[in-house]
Amino acid sequence: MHEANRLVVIGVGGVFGALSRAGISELFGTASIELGDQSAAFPWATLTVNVLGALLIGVLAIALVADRESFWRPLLITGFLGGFTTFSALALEAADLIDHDKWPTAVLYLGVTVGAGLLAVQLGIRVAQRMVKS
Amino acid sequence: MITIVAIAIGAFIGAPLRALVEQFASRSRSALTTLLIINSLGSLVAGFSLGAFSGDLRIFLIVGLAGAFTTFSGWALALAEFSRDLVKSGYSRWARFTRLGIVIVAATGIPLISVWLGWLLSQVC
Repeated sequence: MHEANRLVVIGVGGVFGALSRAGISELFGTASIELGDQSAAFPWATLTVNVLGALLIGVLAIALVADRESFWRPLLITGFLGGFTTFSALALEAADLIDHDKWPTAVLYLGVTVGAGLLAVQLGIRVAQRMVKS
Repeated sequence: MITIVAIAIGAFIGAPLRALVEQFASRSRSALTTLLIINSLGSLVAGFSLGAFSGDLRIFLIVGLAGAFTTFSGWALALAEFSRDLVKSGYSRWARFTRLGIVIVAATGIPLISVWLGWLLSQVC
């Protein structure tokens, strides 16, 4: 794929990813700090987005492993999942919790996100490997 | 409506920008180091924007640009690959555990510090 086209495809995927993330944030009702809420409530929305995205990237990394040339990898992995999941919101929310003297919650939030994210990737890989075999 | 457009424009810039940095930086660095740089830069921008701007401009920068520039899914995948390589590396269980722990703490802690730096910068500017 031409480099300029690849970047546009990634951009389109990223737009859908970021809007889905904002949509889930709205759905949870606890408008995240991303959207201006600074009540330091537990960031369920970002946790859900990041763990779900980690599960999907595990599946897609296996499902699209032979698909180096098509637009599916840039669209879905780099674009959509890259734009859907976020690290800046995670860092922002953890910093906000610490700012509200909620140290244990901040550590718990980071630990659960990283732990569940890693497990989700492995689970996604396993599930996709099983699907590819059958 | 304007908020949605602000997020969309930010993401349309942020996601391709990540791809460009990945392409450029991964020539000489591992995927994890590249993503650490990306996530720290994005967190710096997010922290700065939180202190410096408000309204849709802030949403454009934090939710759209920094949100789509940084990534957790790619980071988790790179970390899973790193820990798989560690298993093959022949280190003792304790050495593998320590290495993985240090990498996780650094890859989480440095973006966190970047948020603070960005916010501090916004208070000075």
